[in-house]
Order: sequence, then structure tokens, then C-alpha cells
Amino acid sequence: MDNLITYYIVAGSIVLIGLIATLLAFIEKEKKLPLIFLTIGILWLGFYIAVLWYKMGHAPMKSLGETRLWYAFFLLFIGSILYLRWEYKWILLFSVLMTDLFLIFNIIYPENFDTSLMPALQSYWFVPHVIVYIFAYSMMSIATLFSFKGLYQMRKKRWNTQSLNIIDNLVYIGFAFLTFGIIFGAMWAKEAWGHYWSFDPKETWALITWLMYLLYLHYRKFKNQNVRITLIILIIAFLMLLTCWFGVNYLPAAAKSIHVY
Amino acid sequence: MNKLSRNFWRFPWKLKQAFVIALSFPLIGLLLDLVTSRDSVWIPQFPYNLITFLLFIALIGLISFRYKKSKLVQFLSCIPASISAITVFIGVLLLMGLIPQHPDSTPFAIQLRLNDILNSGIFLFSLIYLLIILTFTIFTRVYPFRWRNLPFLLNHVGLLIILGGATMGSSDLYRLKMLCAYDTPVWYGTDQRGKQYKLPFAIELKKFHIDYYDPELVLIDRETQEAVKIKVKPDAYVKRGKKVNFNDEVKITIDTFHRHAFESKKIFLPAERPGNTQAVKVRVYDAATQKTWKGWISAGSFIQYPHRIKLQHYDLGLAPPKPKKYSSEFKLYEPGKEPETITLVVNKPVRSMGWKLYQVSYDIRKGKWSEYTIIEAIKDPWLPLVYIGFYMLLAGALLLIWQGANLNRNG
Repeated sequence: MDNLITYYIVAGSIVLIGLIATLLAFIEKEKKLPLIFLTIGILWLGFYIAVLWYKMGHAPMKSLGETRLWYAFFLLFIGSILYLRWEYKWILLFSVLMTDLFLIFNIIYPENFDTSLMPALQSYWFVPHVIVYIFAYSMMSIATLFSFKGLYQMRKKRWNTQSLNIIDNLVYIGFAFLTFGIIFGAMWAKEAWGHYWSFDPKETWALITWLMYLLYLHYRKFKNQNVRITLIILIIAFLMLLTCWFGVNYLPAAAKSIHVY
Repeated sequence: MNKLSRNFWRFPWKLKQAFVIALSFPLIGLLLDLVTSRDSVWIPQFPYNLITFLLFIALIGLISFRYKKSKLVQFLSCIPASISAITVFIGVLLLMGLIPQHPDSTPFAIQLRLNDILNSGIFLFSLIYLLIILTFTIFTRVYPFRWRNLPFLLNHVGLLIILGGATMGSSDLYRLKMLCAYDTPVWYGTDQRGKQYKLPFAIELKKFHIDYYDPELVLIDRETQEAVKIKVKPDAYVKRGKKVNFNDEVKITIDTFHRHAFESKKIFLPAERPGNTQAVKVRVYDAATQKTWKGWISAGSFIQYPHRIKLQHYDLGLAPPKPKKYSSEFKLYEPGKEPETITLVVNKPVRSMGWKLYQVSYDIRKGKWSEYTIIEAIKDPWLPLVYIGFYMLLAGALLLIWQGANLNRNG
């Protein structure tokens, strides 16, 4: 991160654009105007990432701060696509708030940006591995929000099964991306560390996460399934995902992990 | 009681029965761990591991075709069984993910051998149950073949191949460390238990090269002796003429920067010889004393002391340089061939006679002047099989995306 002032301006303007788009989505009947704003936001953030990439000479994806930049980008992107397709305003609100949160986090903690790239990360696997994971995480976070909404609806006795179809859709796509991520990771590990799987804490938690979503997919095929349990499985799965992403760094079991974030 | 339990085990078995069975597997594993004294799971070597794996699949195939109508076979390939197998396996992995997996773990964990789950009966038995269910499930859909079962088969067979191949192949996997000093051919490697093996080839270190990032400035809190993060960390990278502020308490200006330097009478001069260090001449304004200091700072090396500037509350120093890239140049000797020059870099292994050579480490204390480099020689004959599994799973995942979208179109 060469120039933090530029980052503050870009992040600030995108936070603003996102909020305006969401506000318009709630006020306006037409979804055209909010979508124009969202497109500008996405392109602007994308342009900023591209410039950053060019300037740093490598993909801006190795520090926590840079991962959050991509996360913000894809959340905004997927949120807009979902809004375009299903007109869910609250999904848009969620995506924008998450995007803003990640961007603002980097403003508060600029030390999250660190330009040094360690030798183990200098690989062509790096970009695809991280991008597919970010995509998967975005899908899963939206699916999780749907499950919270579902639990709320069930409580108010306003549950409709249609929601479960959308959740399935998101989880299927998200799970496919999780699979890409874990396998790209394994193939990369083979090149970098000599073996495709060594049960490093990060790997263990990535496998736990993958299996939790696998459990969801199987439970959905279960004839006597209970919708509440279905939704709860999804929420637990997301907790595992968060543990894998952030939590691993704080677990005593991971004190010797070779995954540095 | 007796009647109740007899009723419980009457077919068709559902989720409850599935969980009782699934949980009994790791429990049997735990009991075996506690009554036996072996320190790791033993897996036969080639060809017996391959035969075992194939027999396992053939046996399940035979049972599932011969007793297709049996309630037990139907149970072993039903959804409740898969749910129980996945859940219990997750449980075992959670133990692995939460309990430190090394010899100095908590006493409780050591007593139950939970500090080495990977080599425990708990892990092996829950994996076996998972594999049994997975294999039975596959055989229900494999014949007669239908195209609409393709995603299912790619995903399930892919997973079976990966899990089976990785487990059974682990006994044929060799990971040998080779410590290579300059101009000394090395043709042997040592495994994690310290056992030495002869290799079919030899390597001789000719050149070791390392590039460093420019150093970072650090402020060390004098009281706690902890490094204080300079808030705008990336700005702390050294460049001539650069100004760095820390909370308006400390203002630093960089005057001179030597990548390779030696100290002589408190002045650093450029010098390219063993033990040189990165050194920076700075001007520091300390708000606490309202004074400006001038001087040299350096991280030091194995023969030079680090140099710091003492401020009111902090010491200003230079962090040890981080390696950007390192590589070793070797002469590779293979029988019946002319010696060949190879370069080993992290992330770029080199093949030789069924082995793959990886750059792992070097003498970190001496860094650039390291007199040896550490190479890992790896042989994994089961790798192609596992990779077939990977590609099947990747193809299956692609189809999942399509299927997910399809599901939505219908719904």
C-alpha cells in the first residue's frame, strides 16, 4: 500500500456510493438507478484494485487488509447480481454494509496492509486459490443471512419454502467454489511444501468447513428433514468457516500453523 | 429394557441407529488406542496397501450386488448413514482442530492420545466408517450407468479415490531432508524419525542466492521491550529521503541506506563480505525531549551487533530483513548421465528419477552467507491416483454449479 490517502478516498467514496444505492433501492420503485450506482461502485473498486495490482507488481491478496479489499469487491458484485435478479433489498443492504465494514476496517487498521510477500506465496496458484475462496465465502455469507431470515420467518409463522430453494442454489454454487479452493490449495501445497495435505490447522478447519456444507447438502436429501435443523446446520457451517478464516490465528491448536495471514 | 433395545434395532434403521453405529467406530478406535501401546497407525506398504484397498472396494461391491435387497445394505447406502458418517468425521476433525497436535499438548489430551489424532484409532475408524458408507453409496448408482448420475459419481468416486489413495499411499510416501553443504555431493536423506535412506541420485551445492526486501523501521518500547507497530507500517519501508511519523511523537527522515555495510568506528561503509548488514542513517525528532538525533541503525548480523538510537521512550532500530527470494544451484548426478546443473527455488520443485526436490530452508542465522541449504526429497507413488481424484472432484464441482442453477430454474 503505497498511498493510504488514495485508499481513504477510494474506500470513502465506495462506502458512500453503496449507501446511496441502498437508499435509492428502498425509495425508488425502479431498480435501474440503484444498479447504476452499484455498477459505478464495482467498477471504481475494481479499477482501484487493478491499479494497486499494477503498482505493487503482484496480486494485492496477501495481507488481511488486501483480502478484505477483494471480499468487499465480490460482496458488492454478488449483492448487485442478486438484487438484479431477485430484487431483494435487504440482501443489497447486507452486501453494502459488509462491503463498507471491510473497507472501513482497513481505514481504522491500515497496518493490515503489508507489502512484503513471503517466498511460499510467490506462486501462480495464489490468485485462483484466494479468489475462489472469497467467492465461496461471499456465497455462504449470503446463504447464512437467508437462514437467519428463515429462522425469523418460522418464528413469525411466515415461512415459505421458496427461500430454501434460493439457499440451496447459493450453497451449491458456494460449495463448488469451496471445493475449487480446497483442491487448488492442495495442489499449491504440493508445489510449495512438498505434500498436498499435512493437516496444518488451517487445512483441518478448511476441511471441517467443507464437510459441514457437505452435511447440509446431504441433510437436504433426507426425507424427514426438519427445516429448523437445516437452517441451523447452515449457521454452524458458517461459524466453522469464520473460525477457519479468522479464528485459526487465535486457537491454541494453531500456534504452529504454517499458514500466515 | 431388553425389549426396548430389541425394538430399537429392528429395521428399517433411521438417523438414531445410524448415529449409534457411527459413534461406535471412533469409540472402538479409542479403546484400541488405550489397550494397545503402539504409537501410530500401521498401514501396509506396496503392494499390500493397494491390494487391501482394491479388496475393500471389491468386497463392498460384491456385497452390495449380491445382497441388494438386504435391509443392512440398503441402510449402508442411505442418507441417514451418510449424515451420521459425515457428522462423526467432523467431530473427530474438531478434536484435531481444537486440541494442540504436538507432544507437549495438555496432559489430558496426551493421556487419551488426543494430541496425535491423525495417527489414532479414533481417526482411522471414523474414516473407515466414512469410506464404507461412501463405497456402498457409490455402488447403488454405478450400475446401470446413467448420465444424470455423472455429477454424483464424479464427486463420490473422486472423494473415495482421494481419501483411499491418501490414506493407503501414506506408507509409500518418503519425505527426506537433505542438508547440503558447498561442494559436497549428498546422496542420502533423513526422514522425520531420523532414519537415513540412500537416494538413487546425488546433488552438490554450488551456489546459494538470496534477495532481501528493504528493511522496516521498528520502535521498541523501552519499558516492555516490545516492538511498537509503526502505525503506517508500509511507510516504514526504508527509502532515501523518506519521512516517517509515528503518532507525532517520533519523526524520522532517512538520509543514507546501504544494503551491504560494515561498521567501523560508528560509521557504516558499504562492503560486500560475509556478515554484512543493512544499515540506515537517520535523523530522528523526538517530541518527548524536543531533540533531533542523528545516527546509524542496523539489524546486525551474525558478526555485527545491532545498532539502535535511544530516544526518551523508545529505541529506534531496523527489523531483520525478510527474504524475498532464495534459491540454490546444484550439480545433479544421475547414474549413467552427464552431471546437470539445476536451480531449486521455493514453489518450483525439480524432478529426478521419481523423486521431487524442494528448496526448504537454509542457515537463517547466516542468511545470505549460509554455508548450507536444506532440500527435501519427496517420493509419492500414489500421487497420480490422488490427482485423478482431484480432477474428478473439480469436474464434479463444475457440474454442481450447473445443477444448482438448474434446480433454481425448475423451482
